Amino acid sequence: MKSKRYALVIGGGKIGYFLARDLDREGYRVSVMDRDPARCRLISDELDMIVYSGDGTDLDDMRAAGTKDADFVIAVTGDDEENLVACQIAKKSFGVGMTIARVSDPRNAALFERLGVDETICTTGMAIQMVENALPARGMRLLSVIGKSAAEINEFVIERDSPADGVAVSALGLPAACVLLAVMRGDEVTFPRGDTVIRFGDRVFGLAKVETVPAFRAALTGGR
Amino acid sequence: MALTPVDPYICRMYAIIAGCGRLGSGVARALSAKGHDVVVVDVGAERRLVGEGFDGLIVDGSPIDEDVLKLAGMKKADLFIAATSDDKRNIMSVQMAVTVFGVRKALARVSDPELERFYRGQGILTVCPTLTGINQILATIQEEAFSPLGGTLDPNVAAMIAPPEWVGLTLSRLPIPSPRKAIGIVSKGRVHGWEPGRVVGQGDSVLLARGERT
Repeated sequence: MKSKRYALVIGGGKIGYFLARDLDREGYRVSVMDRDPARCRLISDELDMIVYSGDGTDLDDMRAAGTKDADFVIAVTGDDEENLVACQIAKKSFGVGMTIARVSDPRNAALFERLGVDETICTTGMAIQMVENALPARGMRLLSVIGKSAAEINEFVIERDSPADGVAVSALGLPAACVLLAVMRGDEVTFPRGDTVIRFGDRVFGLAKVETVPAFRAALTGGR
Repeated sequence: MALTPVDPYICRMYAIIAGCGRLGSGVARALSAKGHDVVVVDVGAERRLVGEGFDGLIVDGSPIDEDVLKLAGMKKADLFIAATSDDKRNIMSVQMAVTVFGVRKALARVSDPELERFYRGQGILTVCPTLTGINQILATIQEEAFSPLGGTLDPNVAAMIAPPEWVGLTLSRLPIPSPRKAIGIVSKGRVHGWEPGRVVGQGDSVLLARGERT
């Protein structure tokens, strides 16, 4: 039997805690390392896993945590520089295949990848984007990005002056690289077909290639 | 402001120093006194340590903030020294200097000896005050131990406990930068002279000398 893949999470704050819990549920062998012994006790009491009281930038502590056997090292402390050093040690000293660093300063994402970190997660940037997405911008809201910005799933709100109000889907003149996924009318979800008529007040969900989004949006809301 | 004459034997450098505790401010003052252009980057109160004898610029900001480093003139820096009290900050700052700004000589103070050795192996210039301190203490103890002989110890000769990465290599293959050379080895209490094929074991001490082997 193939042994479980080992993920070492550096930093046992909120992100580290919930990440470790989820990875454990998904069948990884997970350990957490945190500098604060009290935090370590709390995590090991609540999650059934090995928690190391140590410093992810200390080679001895990393050795003790079995870093050389780790498939993933995920550094999610609140300190960008600490996450960088932990990932560089994991990568270059212990030969870990995949290192992921959390960055708080969005400007560090590209730098860290140049410095050998495999992936960066910018929590600040994500929070900003989520807030922006929560505010509908002229009838459209981004719900999800597919791939590294290859396609988007968007929600469109049909206003009274929308060119789609009272028009059947087949007559909307939608561009080719898009698909209507669902229409919400009140609390009812319908999966639109060619003869489905869009009405004022509907919320329409659609998937489109990024370059097609403006044309898609123009057909549904009239905006650009 | 009194003009300091530039030392005629060295070129005038544009040096940036991050961190202004005792180490950083000491280096800043020393370089400034030699006539170099010095800029100090640090946040908050420690900056006052620069004090007298320093006539360079002070930039208030974090040394891992690209905009702060740009403001300090990193693009034209000949030398960058990261000397804050935080190893990780220094390591990141130096890598920014090299990768983002193309600074040729960028040096990080790393207090953890093992971390220092790791980053030195990665090609980063490092200084470890802890190791310097340990070596100084050992040298002092050594001088005490030999003082009944009445002579003066030759600092060009030393015995160094083999670091883990030397174990298993032959004497001739040890990565010792010239002009220092291995001249022998102490293994399990026995002293062996120069034998190029002799393998270094754990706990062995390598005898080092500056200059030619005979």
